[in-house]
Amino acid sequence: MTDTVTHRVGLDRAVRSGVRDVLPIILSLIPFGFAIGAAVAASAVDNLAGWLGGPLLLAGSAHIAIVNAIDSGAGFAAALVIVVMINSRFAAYSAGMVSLFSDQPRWFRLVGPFALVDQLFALAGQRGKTFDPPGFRRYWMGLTLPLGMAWTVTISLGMWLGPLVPAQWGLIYSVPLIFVAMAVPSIQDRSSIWAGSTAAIVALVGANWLAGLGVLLAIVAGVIAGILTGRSPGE
Amino acid sequence: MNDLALVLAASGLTYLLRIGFIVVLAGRALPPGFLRVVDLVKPAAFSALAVVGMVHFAGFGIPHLIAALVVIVGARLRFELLLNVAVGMVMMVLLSRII
Repeated sequence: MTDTVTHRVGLDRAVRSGVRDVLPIILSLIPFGFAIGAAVAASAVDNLAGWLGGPLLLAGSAHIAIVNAIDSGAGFAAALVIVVMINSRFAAYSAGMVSLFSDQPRWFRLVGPFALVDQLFALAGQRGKTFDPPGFRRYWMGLTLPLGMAWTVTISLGMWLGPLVPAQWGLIYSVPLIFVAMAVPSIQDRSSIWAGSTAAIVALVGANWLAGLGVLLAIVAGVIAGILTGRSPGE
Repeated sequence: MNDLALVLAASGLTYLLRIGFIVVLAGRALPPGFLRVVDLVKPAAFSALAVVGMVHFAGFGIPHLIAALVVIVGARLRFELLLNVAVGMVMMVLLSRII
């Protein structure tokens, strides 16, 4: 009986640890979620679909990419490929989290990674190892549930308050500005400069190509340019 | 309806990427060079999407370009994203009235 109580207290502590760890992350994500919600409201995207992108995708950059793709007339397949390219990092995170999920029951291995996002990968990758399997499940719950709820609420608030901005302000222009603001921190070395600038030039040339083909080719060209310029002379 | 289908399909594919190595490919190593490609996708994709978004914006002109430059400077100074974009938007609206 005492062991059960002690175990329960330990598990509750794991949930609280998760909530405590994720709160600063939530605060940092509120402005981003709000900006996405406002952009969705200003775009041509169906409101329900735009809103659902929040809780279902749990990926701000891919979410805003869909808004951009629909608004710029990209085709269904092209938009999907763009999302997969942007979210390809989740496959890497998935590989990095195998050790934390390998001792978990199958249901948790199927459900848990649904909320595997950049910040939680960095956080749980370190702290997660300090818990036993049941404790990690509670800790993960403490991390993901508040994050998912806060993300959905901030996007909803952005969609609700965004339309209060006068139409002549051209709020939809916030979408490319968001991409500009996200592109700059991702450009840090020579190869990423080449990747970004090559992609921008190809995108400019192919902006009006059929069904988003220009964006796809721009991303591929940018990645190839980055790989080629990132190699040292001896390679 | 197409928008909804797109969001659902994108969410499904994203979910598959997230469970990929945990459930489907459990224990297998990442393909060589995969992380390098992942690193480069972000600058390439965000730059391309920013350019296409600007080109497709009706009435794109000097104020919009200046707003983008302001946001680049703000991002370099590590401004919070919402604040940065808000400053860019205000700049765009003010300049549109002047120019």
